[in-house]
Amino acid sequence: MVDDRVLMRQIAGGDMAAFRELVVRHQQSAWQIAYRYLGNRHDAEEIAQEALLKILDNAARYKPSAKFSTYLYRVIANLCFDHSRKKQPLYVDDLPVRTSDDLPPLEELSAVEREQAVQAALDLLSERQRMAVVLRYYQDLSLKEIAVAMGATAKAIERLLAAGRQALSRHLGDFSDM
Amino acid sequence: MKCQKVHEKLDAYVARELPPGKAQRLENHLKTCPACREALVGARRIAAVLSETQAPPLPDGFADRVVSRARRRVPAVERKHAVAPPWSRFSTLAWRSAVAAGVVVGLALGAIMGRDVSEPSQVGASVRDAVVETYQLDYFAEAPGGSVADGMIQMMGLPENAE
Repeated sequence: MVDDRVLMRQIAGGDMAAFRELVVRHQQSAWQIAYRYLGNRHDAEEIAQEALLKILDNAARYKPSAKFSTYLYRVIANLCFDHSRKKQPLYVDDLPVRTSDDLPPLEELSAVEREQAVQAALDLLSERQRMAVVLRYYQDLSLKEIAVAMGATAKAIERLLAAGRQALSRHLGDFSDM
Repeated sequence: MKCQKVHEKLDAYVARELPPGKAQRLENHLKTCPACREALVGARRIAAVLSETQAPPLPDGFADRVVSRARRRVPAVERKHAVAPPWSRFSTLAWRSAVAAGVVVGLALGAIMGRDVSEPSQVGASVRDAVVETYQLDYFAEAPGGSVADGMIQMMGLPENAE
């Protein structure tokens, strides 16, 4: 398989087939991060697409100092933060924002409802806590990789994750005790 | 190690990212601190809950839509890197100048040659009369100047023909 950095060089030369290959490789991650952060399909697709197009636009200036995926995560994270600042409040698909008091016990929830409850809890985190949690638990990034993606130190990410985890425990209540 | 520090390191500890020395100090703290042991259990639960929930599947046609937007968005890039058509080499300034000069020279030559052809006949009236008489071309005698008949008489009146 051709390395991502090689694909980026080809894309910088105007190779649209290479761009398609890059999109196919990373579309799932881009979509997952954007959806988990934003909480709705429409905005998630828009941001995920915009991130990949931004990478195309900047292909000629890309310097492979880190893994390509880390670079992609940074682009997505910045777009997500910009989106949050421009468009408040954020909406969860067909689900009103809940507090921990609203959530029923885990055993009463279907898989879809669990997913929605988790998404609602994520949505209650601060922007940076939510992005750190998403990159950590849904993309399995290391602290250092999250730090690069979010333009922060590893120590700052540790604090964000600790605070985010405590907030999730509060919001999910009994849900997380099962 | 203090409790706040332990809480911050729990994610790294669960993911086995802590260096051995720090991991050992954290474990030593956990042995003596029930609150931090509970926090460790909570961290593992949160990780399990999050990993169990699946995001909706990627929308169908996602990649096609991205590539389609990309093609509309960067036509300039594509043109820049597209294969040049065979005639594109003739669109340079040097080629254009050469073609323009050729056209000018051609027009000038045409004008000069055309002037020679259109000049009035230098054949005198006596020669014309001689041709008409010699070849018994009476019916051409009154041919108007510039007509086909007049041209023929003039040709026949040239020195090699005017015997």
